[in-house]
Amino acid sequence: MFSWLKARSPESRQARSGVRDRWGGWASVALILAVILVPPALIRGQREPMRFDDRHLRQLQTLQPEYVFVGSSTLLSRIDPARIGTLRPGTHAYLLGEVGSMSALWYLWVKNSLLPSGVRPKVLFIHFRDTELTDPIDETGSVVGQEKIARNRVGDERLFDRVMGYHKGVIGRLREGLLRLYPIQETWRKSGLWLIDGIGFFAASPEYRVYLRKRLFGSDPITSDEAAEVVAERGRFKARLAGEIFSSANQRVLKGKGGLTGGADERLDFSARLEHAFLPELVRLGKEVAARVIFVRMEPRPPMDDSSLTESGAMGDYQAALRGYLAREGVELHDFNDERAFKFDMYLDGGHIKPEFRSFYTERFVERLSEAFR
Amino acid sequence: MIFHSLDFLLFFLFVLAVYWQLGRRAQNLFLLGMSYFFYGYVHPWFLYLIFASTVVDYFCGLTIARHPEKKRFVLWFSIVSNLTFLCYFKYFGFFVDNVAELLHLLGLPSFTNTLDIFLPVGISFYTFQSMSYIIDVYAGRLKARENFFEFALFVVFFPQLVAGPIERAITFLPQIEKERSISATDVRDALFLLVWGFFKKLVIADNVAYIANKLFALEETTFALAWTGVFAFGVQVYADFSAYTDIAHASARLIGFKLSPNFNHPFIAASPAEFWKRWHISLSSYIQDYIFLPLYFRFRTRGVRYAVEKGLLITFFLIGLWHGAGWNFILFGIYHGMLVIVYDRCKVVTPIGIRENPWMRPFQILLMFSLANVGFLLFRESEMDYILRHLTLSPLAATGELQWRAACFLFGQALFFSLPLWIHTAYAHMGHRLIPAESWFRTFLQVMVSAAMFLAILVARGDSEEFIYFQF
Repeated sequence: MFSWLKARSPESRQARSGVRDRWGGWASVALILAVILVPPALIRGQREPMRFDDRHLRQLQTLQPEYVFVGSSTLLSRIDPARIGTLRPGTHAYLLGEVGSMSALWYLWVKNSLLPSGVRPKVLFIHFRDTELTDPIDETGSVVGQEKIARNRVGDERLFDRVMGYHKGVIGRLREGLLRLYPIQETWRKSGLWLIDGIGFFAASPEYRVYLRKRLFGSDPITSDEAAEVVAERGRFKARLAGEIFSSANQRVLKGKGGLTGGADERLDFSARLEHAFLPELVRLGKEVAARVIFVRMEPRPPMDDSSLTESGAMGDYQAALRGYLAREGVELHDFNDERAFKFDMYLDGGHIKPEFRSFYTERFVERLSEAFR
Repeated sequence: MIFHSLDFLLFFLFVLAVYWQLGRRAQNLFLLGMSYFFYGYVHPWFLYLIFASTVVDYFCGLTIARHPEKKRFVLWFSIVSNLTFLCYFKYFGFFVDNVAELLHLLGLPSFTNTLDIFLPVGISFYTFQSMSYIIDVYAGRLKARENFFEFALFVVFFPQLVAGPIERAITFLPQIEKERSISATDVRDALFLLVWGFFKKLVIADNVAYIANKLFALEETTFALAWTGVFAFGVQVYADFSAYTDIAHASARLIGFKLSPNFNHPFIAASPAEFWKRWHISLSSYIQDYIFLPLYFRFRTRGVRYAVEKGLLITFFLIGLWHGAGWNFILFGIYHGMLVIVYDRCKVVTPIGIRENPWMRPFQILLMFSLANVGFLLFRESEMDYILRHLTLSPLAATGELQWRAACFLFGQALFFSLPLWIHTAYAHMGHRLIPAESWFRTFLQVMVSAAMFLAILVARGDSEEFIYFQF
């Protein structure tokens, strides 16, 4: 019945099977592919052996904190544990956070560091942005992320692997495979950025050009002081670029353009995502380990005129469903999206607070949740 | 689905694996199914539109063939229905905004546009492509096709669906209708083109995009900073769009098709007319054949110059409008139209000894490159106040030391990232003389360069952005 589908013309068969090009036909294609694809895979770089990192566990045991905060770099930029110690004398706070972490890692920290440490804090704060509690994958897909996971898991993590497996999908697994095949892309990226900065600096700084000429073609050796000065000058220049020319005060308010993407975002379907999230386990473990569990939704940077941000209907529905779920589970949720004390200029970017405002943020946080810090 | 994603890699490997096991008719059906999957991957409702457009033009083509006496009516029916889709999704919001603004300016009761019409990706490309079929059938240059699936494949062919090149039915349909084959040479050439395309997108375009975005976002700027941003954007848009074209060419070649050229080193154009023969060739030749020439013949009775200039202004206005619903795009089109006209008038009064002198060409290229950058400013900057600000910044105004160094820093980086484009252009013009096309050394060089580019993609790719021309 479908024989016509297989019918091929004699020419096409000949073209497919009978080709012998001048450079060895298909063998040359294989050779070319090998030359392009294989060498980068052979550059493996320095890799540390992956063992459980008990740093958090030991520090928790030493400090015996009353307040434990869990979150990512956005938490680290906001909460100053030392300031909490001065605001609430005699108490200790500990940040269980790392740059680029999401709820997958938070779950592992609570399960494998906080719980076994024997520490029973008064309050466990879990800081998140928008959908992070039901969206465990972000940087966990990178080599660095995979290493973080490997350093925080203990033995057989069935639940963890099941949830992560769902979110990775085929594409995620393939991406992981590619990262393992070409670890060079993580290990060399910093060098690439350094080189590109150097090229810009070469164009911008006559002193650097003189230094390079001396280094490459000069007869006298470069002293370590000279080299250190060049590195320092490069740092100062970049700091001035960021702080003066590209400062937040010098940014235009860009008028919105019609986006290219839109439509329903499946990440905002709370009930569907909950089945494949670490949130239920975070709640269960949190209640087991701490007297009180508080989830804190962190605010994004406000617009330049410090007006309030409007939330999409779908996000509003998601947050309402999250609030309802947490209320049923008997844990609290504090949403800082309505907080007006934090102004545009206090932010380093869309999500992080500038270091000089960290203390102010902490004070406001303690003030707003004063009842939890009694 | 975007080319620089693992989704596409998996998709395309699957297509290749199955495609070459099938006979021609099955290949076409398979490609049609895969093309619909490709297009509807993110937003399945896009498929309704493209399918509607396909059905309308298929039946219009057949009607023209069967009822020649109605062919004029059917042609207009097809054009109007195609343009209605296009105008609604692309221009209706713009139109409503402008009406509201006008009412406000006149002091009449105005309104706020709450319409948020979602622009289907690639609608301008496939609408034009589909219309070329009807116009050619109407003009008798092409026979109306009976086979719906083959016609549908012409409209939705995935490698060039979302950002061109805009294929003509007259050259593409015959490729669908004949047996296709693939040789090792095709695969080899396609591989080089793929690596080059991904390199241009991920290493050049995405890295200079970072510079351009930063500089276009500044509230206070200087001449050097502002035009460094424009230069970076010019490099970005060329690298980005030509990368898409290269990947499209390579993908098509791997399934036995040959697409039309879209770029021919536009940055070495010495005049606006030459620029448009080298930039987005499939669009400019389409516009020339289907809009400019009919207009020219219509206006010719009032003199050749009048016909040419009026035709040029209208066609470039449409080129601008085709790019997007915004006054900056309209200005972009009119600016280029004016450039062509002014250059043409200057040509008449410039002695041939100067015009054709090969020593003058570098200066002509430099001038044209600078003028093209003004065009890129209009293309990128959607707010009139800021366009005016860019154009009125004086190069002689006092510039702070930090601003000057910052401009040098970013220009140095943008120039560094653009170097492969310049080298490629120089090689295309001189390399053939130095290295014969069929020499082993050339193949060796290609392999080494491809290996280096692949390494650069791994370690120096920028934060990936969507292809710019997806929005058109």
